[in-house]
Amino acid sequence: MRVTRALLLALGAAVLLAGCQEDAAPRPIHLDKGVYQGAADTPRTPEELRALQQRTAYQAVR
Amino acid sequence: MLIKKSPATSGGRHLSRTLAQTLASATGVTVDRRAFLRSSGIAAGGAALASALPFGMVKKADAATPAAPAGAPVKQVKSVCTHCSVGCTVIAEVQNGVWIGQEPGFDSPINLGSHCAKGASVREHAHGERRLRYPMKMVDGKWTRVGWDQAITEIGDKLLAIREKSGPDSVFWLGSAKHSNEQAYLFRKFAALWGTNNVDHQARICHSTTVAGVANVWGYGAMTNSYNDIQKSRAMFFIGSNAAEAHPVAMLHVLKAKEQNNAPLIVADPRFTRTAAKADEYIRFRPGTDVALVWGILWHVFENGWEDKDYIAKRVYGMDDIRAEVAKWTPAEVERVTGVPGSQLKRVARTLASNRPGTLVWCMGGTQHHIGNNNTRAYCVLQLALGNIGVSGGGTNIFRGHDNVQGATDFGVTSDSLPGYYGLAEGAWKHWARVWDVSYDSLLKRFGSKALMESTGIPVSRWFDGVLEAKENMDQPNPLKGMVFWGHAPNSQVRLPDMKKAMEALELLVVVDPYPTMTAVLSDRKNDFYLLPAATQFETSGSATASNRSVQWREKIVEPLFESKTDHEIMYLFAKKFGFAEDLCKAIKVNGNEPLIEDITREWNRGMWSVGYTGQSPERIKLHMQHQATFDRTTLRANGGPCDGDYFGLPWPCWGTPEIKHPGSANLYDPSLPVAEGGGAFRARFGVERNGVTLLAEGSYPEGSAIKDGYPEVTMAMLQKLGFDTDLTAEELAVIQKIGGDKIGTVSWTTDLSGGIQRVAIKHGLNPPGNAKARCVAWNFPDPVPIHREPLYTPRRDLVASYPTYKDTKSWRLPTLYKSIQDRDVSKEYPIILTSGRLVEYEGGGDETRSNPWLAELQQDMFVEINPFDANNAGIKDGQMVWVEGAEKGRVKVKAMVTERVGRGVAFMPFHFGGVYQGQDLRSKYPAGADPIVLGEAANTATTYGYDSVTQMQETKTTLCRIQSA
Amino acid sequence: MARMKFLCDAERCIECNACVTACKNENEVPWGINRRRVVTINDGKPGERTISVACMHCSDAPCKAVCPVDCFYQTDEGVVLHNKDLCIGCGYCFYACPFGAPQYPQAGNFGSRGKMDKCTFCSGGPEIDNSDAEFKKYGRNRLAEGKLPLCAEMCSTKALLAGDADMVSAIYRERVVARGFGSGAWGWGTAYQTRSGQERDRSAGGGMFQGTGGPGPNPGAIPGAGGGMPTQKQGL
Repeated sequence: MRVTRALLLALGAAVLLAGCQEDAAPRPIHLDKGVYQGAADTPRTPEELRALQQRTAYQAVR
Repeated sequence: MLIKKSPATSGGRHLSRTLAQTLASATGVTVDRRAFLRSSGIAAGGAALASALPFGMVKKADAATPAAPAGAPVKQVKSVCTHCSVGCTVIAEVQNGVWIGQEPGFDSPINLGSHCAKGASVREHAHGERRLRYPMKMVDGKWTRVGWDQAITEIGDKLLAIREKSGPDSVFWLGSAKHSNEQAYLFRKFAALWGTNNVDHQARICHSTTVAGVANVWGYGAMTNSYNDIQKSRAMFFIGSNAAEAHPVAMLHVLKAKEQNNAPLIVADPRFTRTAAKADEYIRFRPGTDVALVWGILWHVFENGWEDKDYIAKRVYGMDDIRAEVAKWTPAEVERVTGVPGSQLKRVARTLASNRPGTLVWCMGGTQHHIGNNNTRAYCVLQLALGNIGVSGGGTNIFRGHDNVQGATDFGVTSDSLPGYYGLAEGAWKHWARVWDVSYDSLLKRFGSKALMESTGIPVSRWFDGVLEAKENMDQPNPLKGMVFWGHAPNSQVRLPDMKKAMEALELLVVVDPYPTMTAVLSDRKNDFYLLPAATQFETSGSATASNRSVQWREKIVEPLFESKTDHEIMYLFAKKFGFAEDLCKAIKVNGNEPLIEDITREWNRGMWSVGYTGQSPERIKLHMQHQATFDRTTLRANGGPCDGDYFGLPWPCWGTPEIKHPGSANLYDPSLPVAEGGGAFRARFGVERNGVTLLAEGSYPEGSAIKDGYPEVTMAMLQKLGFDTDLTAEELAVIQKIGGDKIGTVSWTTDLSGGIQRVAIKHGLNPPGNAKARCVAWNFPDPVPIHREPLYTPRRDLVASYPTYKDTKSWRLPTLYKSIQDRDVSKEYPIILTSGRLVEYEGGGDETRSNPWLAELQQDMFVEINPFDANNAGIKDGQMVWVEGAEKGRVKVKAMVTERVGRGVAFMPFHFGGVYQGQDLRSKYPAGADPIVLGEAANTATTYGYDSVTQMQETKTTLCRIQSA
Repeated sequence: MARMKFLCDAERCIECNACVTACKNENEVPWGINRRRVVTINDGKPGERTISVACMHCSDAPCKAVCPVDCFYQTDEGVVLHNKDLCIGCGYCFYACPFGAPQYPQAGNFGSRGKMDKCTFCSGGPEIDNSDAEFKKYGRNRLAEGKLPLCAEMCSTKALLAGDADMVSAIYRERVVARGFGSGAWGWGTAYQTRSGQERDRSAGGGMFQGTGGPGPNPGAIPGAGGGMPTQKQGL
């Protein structure tokens, strides 16, 4: 009896706790507030940055 | 004060609250048009759905998913924006036949990569969500899908039956400024082979008064310089042009002149437009008083001796007649008529006089009046007095409307001329018969009579009068019975209630268009009504002429969507049905049913001598598009590269055959350059003298001219007299002899199909059209000297006696009313002046742009601008619905926007809306899925009668209305 | 390292909305979401001025500071981006942003906000550059193609500038010199002045940029905009 009740309780708690996980995103737990801990972006290469400078110049009307 | 926004635009509300209010704290309270209009939220048909979708899941045509499937190559295709006449290069990125991206065309010397809201959203064409997808036939009031074969057969049979019963003139072929040059040319030829001059297009209702007015001053009715050349202006005078909304990319060049030359920008407009917001001087004047205003400025010029006397002596005829008229326009009288104080006009006159060269820009604010031709000529005269024509930085820079309205006009999609302004006289027909390689007699047989063949047809502005008018009052055998709208929005025309009646009275109504247009829903027709899906210009190739006369080539970006076909293919299908396909395409290769575009270009190259549309071979135009980066962004001239020395797009006149490599003419009538390098002179179009006074230039001539004085247009006889005929090659001479027969001397620069006369003239530095004076007096017009006449519907009854309109008359095959309309005083019941204009997001009738969600979202409501004074008097609150009733009782139910943008006693409505009629939503009448996202009342439901005395331009800019709470 | 910035020249902006539709076009932004918008002051009156506004990619981005889940990051070029997988749609950033940039589609049940969306300076998000996933969540990544934001590249009058901050301010400075007056690089004070207050933006060139304002919520004004017409320049 007692075992069954304990099992039921545990099951109920598990169900309730599962409700706390609203989405499945791999959200980091923040111990360091203010620091982005998501997936890293790809940095721009020097060639890309040179191209971007070139494009900036197009915006001048000469 | 902001109106509640929907939750989906909550960012906007926040922004408007924090940002606009913070800004306003320094500058006063503010509500902008967009915040005002977006307020009604997302309710517009169908779009509501999209707002609920998460980001990245917006509904779109499957084919248009821009994410790149791995590996497939992305091809860049160059085209030209299909909205306004600036001619912005569009770079499309295409993958697997799908238009996936749009990039800035930085190399274009015209737009330098820039676009306006419309140009930046043309890729939506690839989605085509609201396009007309299949041929549709109305059966007992219901749209039913049919096949192309059935549609062509049924429509063709019905048109032939009308032709049989009522004659070829009972069908009206309404062409389009949205056609390419090749399609426009083919369309005019098609109408000729059908046997009617009842063919016309939007130029009639946008710049016909410019084309006729300006051509009758100095030869050609077109923008004299270019958008780019404005960079060299030292002053800019805009009248009746709201370039910031209608030609936004033009402002790129305008603002550069402002910055670099410190050139003052003067804007004269009844409305404080967004262009006016950038002005150094804004002149608010009463709509319809342009002539009085211009003469008011000129009064100060003459009074102070600021006119260019040397220039006038050498290059202008009739300025003394102008002087006599201008003398009447004292500052007091000008203020009485226009409302502008003399002190302001004196300042303007001084600014213009002390900052030369200056350019003058006008648009439909000047042209769309019953005295539009007087307005345009008055503007020209002002520039002539200041010596500003034929110089870089000067000119009358007339901004045309549609992307190819200049081309469609040049190619004669007009009821008064064949291509190239040759007119309709026998000689013109014979010229084109030679070019088309068909006999003159066979053309003559297609017409009801020789008289009908040589008389101007009904203009598009009056087509519905051509249906409704009694037969006995018309100069053609029968009223119109069949109407073909081939790329035209009916809501861009005045008097929609009358048009509706006419649509219902027709035996057959056909629309050929990428969109159903308001034609599909305006009438209550039940049968004999067809919609044929046409491809857009992004789905075919061909050339288009920008406002500055530069010819650009569009490559095909994508195949025609759904079941749509290109316009030239549809023309060919009908020609086959009518039995003249062979004559239509004698020298044009036909692939399947599609005539080869390049062959059409080559054909008009062989005939358009009068305008200098002969040197722009497809190969040369394409080369220019390929090497855009080599052209200077101010002069438009290529510096090195394969096009070295050419002006971009070979702006006409580009004389002679392509082989002589004329560079085109960047600025018209400019004697500082040799003709061979794009120089020129005023055209000797009106004879050599008038009442004993010479009409030829005196002491002014293009650089390097063999004749150091004025001379008439170049003919074979003139070459012979000068001994230059020996320079003709044997082949050229043979062609000239064949054309001239025993009267070889009469063959001229316009009729010589060899191009020899032009080549030899240019070799000796002569301008083929001659070297004449510009004339200030058009003695062939109702008002030889431009004069002010009060609008037909004027609130100023006190001025009618002094400045009355014309007597009623008959013109263009129809009775045309003036005095009988003006005599009816309705100024008590209808006290507010109603004028109309454009919004940047939409174009023309708006069917295309209102179907584009990226644009439609920005302008969701039709509205009327009312001055707070008038609104308060009428008890109207900002944002409420009102009825605007025109003086002929057409009513529209629209939202009131109370603003000082309009002056007291003036109301403004944009004319791009449609699909709602006198309070009734017509959405359910569109073919399923082809209803534009945004519908609204058409401004022209409320506009009224009034037509220019020379060109039948409609009066949209000055009428009367009353505004009441709805 | 190049610092990317936006600059809107109010003397040139004509409220044509090319920036708005270019953004929609390039990023397939749905109806109702506007990453960029054009704001007008004194509409219809003398002194009417407009500016195009989007995320300015601030130096000390307030959105980043207030985000409870730290979904924001700033690239080496100074572009402020966010990770939609982390975003909980709480709306804090929306209230913190002086430019009204964050937008929320109605995605959630019971009217809850969806993931925040805003201008990415056309540089996507943390997903693999120009992948399908990146496009669907953030739109196009032009920077990875060596191209600048399309709104600025297509601006009708080159009023809206985007790119290397030094070059952008050099272009603007040239215009200000030609005009003989400056109306301020709108929003730069708010966006690019760091909290320490020292870097008022070296590249902006001191005196020519008036009214850049202090840190905080005030987005700065447009000096000169409310003063009616510019003076008459020419005379006999």
